[in-house]
Amino acid sequence: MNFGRQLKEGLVTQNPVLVQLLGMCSTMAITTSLSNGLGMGVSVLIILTLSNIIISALRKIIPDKIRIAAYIVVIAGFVTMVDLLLQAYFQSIANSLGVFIPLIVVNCIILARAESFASKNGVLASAVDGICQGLGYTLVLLVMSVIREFLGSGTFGGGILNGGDGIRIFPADYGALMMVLPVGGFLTLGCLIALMQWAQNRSKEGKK
Amino acid sequence: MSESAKIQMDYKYIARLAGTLFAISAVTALLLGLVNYVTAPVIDQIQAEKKAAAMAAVLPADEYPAVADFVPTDSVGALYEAVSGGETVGYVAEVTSSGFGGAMSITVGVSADGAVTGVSVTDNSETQGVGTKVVGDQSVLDGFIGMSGVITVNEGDNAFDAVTGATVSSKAVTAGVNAALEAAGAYLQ
Repeated sequence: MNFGRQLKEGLVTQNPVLVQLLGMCSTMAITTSLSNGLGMGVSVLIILTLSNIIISALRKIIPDKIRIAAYIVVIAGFVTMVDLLLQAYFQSIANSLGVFIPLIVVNCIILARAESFASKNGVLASAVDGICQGLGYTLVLLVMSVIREFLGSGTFGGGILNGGDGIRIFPADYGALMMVLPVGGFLTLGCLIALMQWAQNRSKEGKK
Repeated sequence: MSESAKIQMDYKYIARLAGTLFAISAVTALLLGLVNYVTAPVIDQIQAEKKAAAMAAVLPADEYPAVADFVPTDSVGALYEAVSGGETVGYVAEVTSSGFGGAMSITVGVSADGAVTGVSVTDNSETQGVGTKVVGDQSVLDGFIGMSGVITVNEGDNAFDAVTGATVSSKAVTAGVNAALEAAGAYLQ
């Protein structure tokens, strides 16, 4: 097990969103302010790590034929717990993320990591994988949130800084509304994926 | 019968499949019950506080007894009488309306003479930065105060000015206010 390598894979070379292209829906839907991106990212990170640990621990007990059903039960259980805890103790995050918390159940990052990593590796390695992949997802959400919030609303840190209003960089009237709409999500994500491909190809060529 | 078909008919194997899935589901259900047991009172209390704060904001009164013979409709979920010093000062309605991002919950105060005293959006899924210009901005919602009858959007004499770019959200709130006025109006006459 190599923590540094797993971290590099999660954040860059095997980034769940930009390279594996998993979890697109939530990525585009919720990245309209920094607090949304952070709340969603951390929620997925926690659920991914916990479900990776449990699935890895149970990997020898669960018969192959029903593994997907068993994974879904475990994941759905954790998602519901996080949903209830958010509603009880982090009202504002629960309000702004709304339906996207229950939808983490079908976030393909979690099932993909359960199937491709946790079901084949030890508990500790799976936990580290959950944390690294979760960090990669969170990082992309944060970058997207900052870009879309800045271009769309002209603020930074909406929902967290400056009493929830965010720090205003330019007047709200000049914001490009489309950047906070779904089309802005596609544009931002497309540009980020292109940037990632370019950077990876360049570093490959550099090695040759 | 082939080898793989024999395995499928193996009752021990089938029992193991069912047993494992049952055990995982049972443990998960148990844990969920536990988490729900801990969080349910907290969530209920937060909801009750939000409700009380919204009612006090739209129409201040001493107490809010529920209207006994009111039958909830699709849009108006609950109707409360606002009583201050033993007198009815108006009605508070909890309505749901369908906005751009799904259902929104609105609390509307209606005075004894049938005019809006306040509008508070307690729950919504409107787009951040667009629909929230209506539902998240109390000064916009306060534009309904004093209006009565059937309110239209943008056109007509009795119109609410929609926020530019957020027409759907504006219309949704207006529809909710209209439903509240209608429900309360039935008890005012």
